[in-house]
Amino acid sequence: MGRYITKRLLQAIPTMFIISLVLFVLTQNIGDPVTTMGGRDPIRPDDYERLRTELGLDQPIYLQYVYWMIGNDWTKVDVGGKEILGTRKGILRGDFGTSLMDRVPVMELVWSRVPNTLLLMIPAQIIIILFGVSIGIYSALKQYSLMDNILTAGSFIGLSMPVFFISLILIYVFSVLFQHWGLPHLPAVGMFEPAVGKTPLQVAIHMIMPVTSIAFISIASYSRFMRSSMLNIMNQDYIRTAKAKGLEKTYVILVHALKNAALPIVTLMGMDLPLLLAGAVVTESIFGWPGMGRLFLDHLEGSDGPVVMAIVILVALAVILFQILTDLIYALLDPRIRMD
Amino acid sequence: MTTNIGTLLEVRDLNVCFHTPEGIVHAVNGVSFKVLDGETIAVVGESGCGKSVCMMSILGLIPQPPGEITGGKAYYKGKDLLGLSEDELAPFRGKEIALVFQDPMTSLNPVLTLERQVTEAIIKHERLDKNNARKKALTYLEWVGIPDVGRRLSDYPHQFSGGMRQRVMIAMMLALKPSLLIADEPTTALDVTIQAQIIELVKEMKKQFGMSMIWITHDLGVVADLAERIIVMYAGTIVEEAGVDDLYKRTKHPYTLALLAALPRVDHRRDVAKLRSIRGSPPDNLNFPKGCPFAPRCDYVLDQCWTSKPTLEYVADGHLAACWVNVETGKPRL
Amino acid sequence: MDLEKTFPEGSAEDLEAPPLSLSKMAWMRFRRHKMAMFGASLLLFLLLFSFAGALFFSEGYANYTNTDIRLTSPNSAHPFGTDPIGRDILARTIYGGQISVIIGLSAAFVMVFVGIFVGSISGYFGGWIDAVLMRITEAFISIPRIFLVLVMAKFFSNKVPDITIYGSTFSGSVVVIILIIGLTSWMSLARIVRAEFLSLKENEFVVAARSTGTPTWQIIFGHILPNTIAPIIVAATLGVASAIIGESYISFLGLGVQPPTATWGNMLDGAYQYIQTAPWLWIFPGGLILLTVLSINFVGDGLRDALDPRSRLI
Repeated sequence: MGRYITKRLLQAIPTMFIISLVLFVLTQNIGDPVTTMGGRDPIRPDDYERLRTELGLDQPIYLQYVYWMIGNDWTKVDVGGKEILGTRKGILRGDFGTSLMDRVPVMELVWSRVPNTLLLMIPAQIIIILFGVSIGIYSALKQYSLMDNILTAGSFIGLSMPVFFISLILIYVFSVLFQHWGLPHLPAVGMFEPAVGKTPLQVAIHMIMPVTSIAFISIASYSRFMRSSMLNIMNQDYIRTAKAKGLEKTYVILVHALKNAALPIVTLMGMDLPLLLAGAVVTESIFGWPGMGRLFLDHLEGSDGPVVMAIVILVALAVILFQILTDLIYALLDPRIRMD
Repeated sequence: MTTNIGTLLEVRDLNVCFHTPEGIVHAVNGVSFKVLDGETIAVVGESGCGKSVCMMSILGLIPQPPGEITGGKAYYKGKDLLGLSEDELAPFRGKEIALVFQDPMTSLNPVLTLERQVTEAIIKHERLDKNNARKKALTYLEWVGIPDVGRRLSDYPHQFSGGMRQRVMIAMMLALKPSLLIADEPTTALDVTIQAQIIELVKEMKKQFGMSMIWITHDLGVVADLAERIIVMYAGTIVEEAGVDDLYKRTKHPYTLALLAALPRVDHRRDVAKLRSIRGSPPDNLNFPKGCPFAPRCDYVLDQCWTSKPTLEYVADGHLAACWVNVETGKPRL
Repeated sequence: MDLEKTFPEGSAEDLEAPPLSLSKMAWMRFRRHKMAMFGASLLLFLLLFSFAGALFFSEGYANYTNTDIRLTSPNSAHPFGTDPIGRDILARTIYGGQISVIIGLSAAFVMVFVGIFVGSISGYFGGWIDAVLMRITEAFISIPRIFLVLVMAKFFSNKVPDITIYGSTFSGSVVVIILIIGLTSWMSLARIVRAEFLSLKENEFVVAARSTGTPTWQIIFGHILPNTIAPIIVAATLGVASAIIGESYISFLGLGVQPPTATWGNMLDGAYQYIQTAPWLWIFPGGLILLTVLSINFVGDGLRDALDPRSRLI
C-alpha cells in the first residue's frame, strides 16, 4: 500500500512540471499587466520601463520561469537602477509572488478566498452524494416504473444543461418571481446582506441557490451511474445466492447489494472534483460570491499572471492529490484489493 | 415391497417463457415430474434445454420480467410455490429447498466475510445468536473439508480456490438443513479432479443427511453414480425419464441414445471409435417447429414425427419416453 | 441396441437464418431504442431550425440593431422578443445555432483527431513514448477544464483575425474556441483508444500483418483502428454535446465568441443584467442549448447500446 502511494506521488511530479510549464507559457501572453496598472490613466514610458524591470518582465522567458519556480533570492536583480538581492523564493518553496493588480502576496489573496469557495463546494458534495445515490438506487429498484422513467429523463436533462442556465432559472423563479408574487424570496447576490452583517443565517440563505446550481448536474450524473451500478449488482450471482438462502429482500439490498454499490462512489468523488470547481467558478460569477473562482476571473481579466498561475497550479495539485486520496480509500474499502 | 414414501415435490405442467427484444423464448414447455422423500434425481440436457430455468422458477429465482411463469403448479409438501409472493417464498428458500449454483467464483459476495455469509441465513432461519450460529457454521465447514476453518472464517471469498468455494456453498446450504437440495451443474465450472472430490462429498452427504436431491447436469457420465432416477430434457420438455439402470441399458429415446453415444469411453479402441457428436444444432427456442423438436437431428425420424409432437408416456414399468418410434425396431410404437 | 451407429452429417443448417451484417444489426438495435430515436428526430428538427431557418432571415437582419424596439417581449413581429439593442432574438438564435453547431462539430473533430493520434501511438508503441504521452495526458486532465480553457481563451484573445467564408464573416474567436475546446477534451478518448490498442495489438491479425511486412502506419490506421470505431463514434457524438456546452460556458463568461457574431452562449452573457425584466433573453438560447445537448446525449446513448450491447449496464 505504501509503495502504491509513493508510486502515484512520484508519477505526479513530472505531471506537475508539465502543468507548470504549460501554464507559464500560456500566462505570458494573457496581456500586459503593466499597461493596465495605471487604471484609467495611460502609463508613462519611463514608469513603464521601470515597472517592467522591477517585476522582472524584461528577462528572457526561460529565466522568468526559473525565477518563478525557485525564486531569485540567490541572485541579484535590478530594482530602480540598483542591484540588490532578490526576494522571491519560488513556488517550490511556497512563494507564489505578488499580485500585479493588488500588489499583495498572492497566497494571502488566495487563502482569503479559499474558505468561501469551500463553503460552497463541501455542502454541494454532501448533497450530491445524498441525493445522487438515493435517487439512483431508488430508480434501480423500481426499474421501468413511471418514477424511474421520470427520474431518468430528469437526469438526462440535468446533464444537458450548463450550470449557469440552472442558476438563471433558480434566480428567476426563487428571486424574481417569488418576489413578484409576494412570497419570501432568496437573495441572488453576494454572501450576506451588508446591512445585516455576516451572520451564519445570512450566509446560509445566500448559499442555497449557488450550492443547488453546483450540485444539480452532479446529482444527475451520480444518479445515472448508481442506477446502472445497482442494476448490474442486482443481477449478480451472489445476490441470487443470498435470495436462495431465504434472506429478506430489504436485507439483501441493504447488506449484500449496497456494500458493493457504495464502492465506486469514492472513485466518482475523485473524478467529480473538476466539475465542482467549474460549477464554483461560474456560480461565484453569477451570484457575486467572493470565492476563489471570482478571484480567478477578475485577475484573469486583469492579466494578473502570478495570481492566475497560482490558482490553477493549486487547483491542479488539489485534483491530483484528491484523486490519489480517493483511490487509496477505495483500495482500503475493497477487500479484494486490500488483501494484496 | 417399498414402504409408502411421500412425494416431496410435484411439478405439474410447468411453462416458463422469456420476453426478449427478438421475441418470446419458450424455455420450459409443459414439464411435469415428482421427487420423493430421500430420492436423488438427475436432470440431464444440453445448454438451453430449460433444466436450470425449470428448477429456479420453482423458487421464484428467475427475474420476472423478462421471465414469466405462464402456467403450471409446483407442490412442495402440498403447497403450490408458484402462487406465492417473494415474501411468502422466503421461508421456503434455504430452509426447505436449497440451491447450489454453477459458478462458485461469482456466487459468493466478494465484500462480505465467510463467517457473515455462512451464518446470516442460519441466524435468520433458526433464530440463533451470533455465537451459536458461528459454531454451527464451523461444524459444517469442517465437514465439507475446509482446512483451518477457525481462522478462515474471517477471510473473503477471493481468498479461496474454486473448489473450496463450492464446498463453502454446499456447507452454507447444508447448514440450513433443507429437505430438498437442488444442485445446478455444481461441478461444471471446476476441473475434473476437483469435480470428483465434490461428487464424493455429495455422496457422503446423501448418506449422512438423507435429503432429496435434484442434480442438474449436461454430463450423463457423472450422474450414474449419484442418482436413482434420471430425467432427460430437450427444448424445454422432458423426453425421457427412467431409473438409472433402465436409462443406460434400455434407452427408449433417440436423444438419450445420442447423448450416451457421445460420451467418450475409455474402453473403446482409439483407432476404432471416433468421438460422436449429434448432428445439427440446438433448437431455436424462439420458433418451435411443429412436431417433435428433436426431429431435425433424429436418426429414427418418421413422417409423423414432423407433424405431431409426441407426448410423454409410459413405455415400460417406471420408464417414460416422448417418442413415436420404438428405437429397438425402428418402427412406430403402437 | 447399437450405440456404434454412425450419425451422418445432417442438413439442419438449412433451418438457420442468414446472419446480418454488423451495421445492419447496429441500426436495428438503435431503432429499438426509443429515447435515441426521439433524440435523433429532435436533433434533426433543431438542425433544420438553424440551417433552414436561415432562409427566412438574413444574417444582416440578425445583426440589425434598432434601439427603438429594444427589449420587447415576444410578440408577432418578434416571436422571441428583442435584445437590449433591438436585435431580433429569433433570428439570432437561428444564426447562433449555426455557430454553436459548427463549433461543436469542429471541436469534436479536433478532439477525435488528437485523441486517436495520441492514444494509438501511445498504445501501440508503449515504452517511453507511452510514458511521456501519458504524463502529458495526465497533466491536461488534472487541470480542471474550465481553468485551462479560460486561460487559453485569454491567451488567444484578439490574436486571431476574422475570416470570411462564403460571404459570412466569422469572428476569429470562433476558430480559437474550436481549437481550445478540441485541445482540452481529447484526453479521455486518448485513454480509451490506448486501452483498445493495448489489448488489440497482441491479437493474431496484427501479428499476421507484421509478419507480412505491412508498414507500421498501415497496421495502426488500417488494421487496428477500424476495430476501435465503436467507442470512437460514441465519444465523438458525446464530444459534440460537450463542446456545445463548453462553448456556452466560455462565451457566457465573456471570453468566447465575440459579438456581433451570435452564439447561444454569448446571448446568455448579456441576459444576466436583465433577468428581472426580460426572461426571454435567456430562456430561448438556454432552452435551445438544453434541447440540442439533450438530443445529442440521447443519440449517443443509443449509439453506445447499438454498437456495443455488452457495454450496456442496463
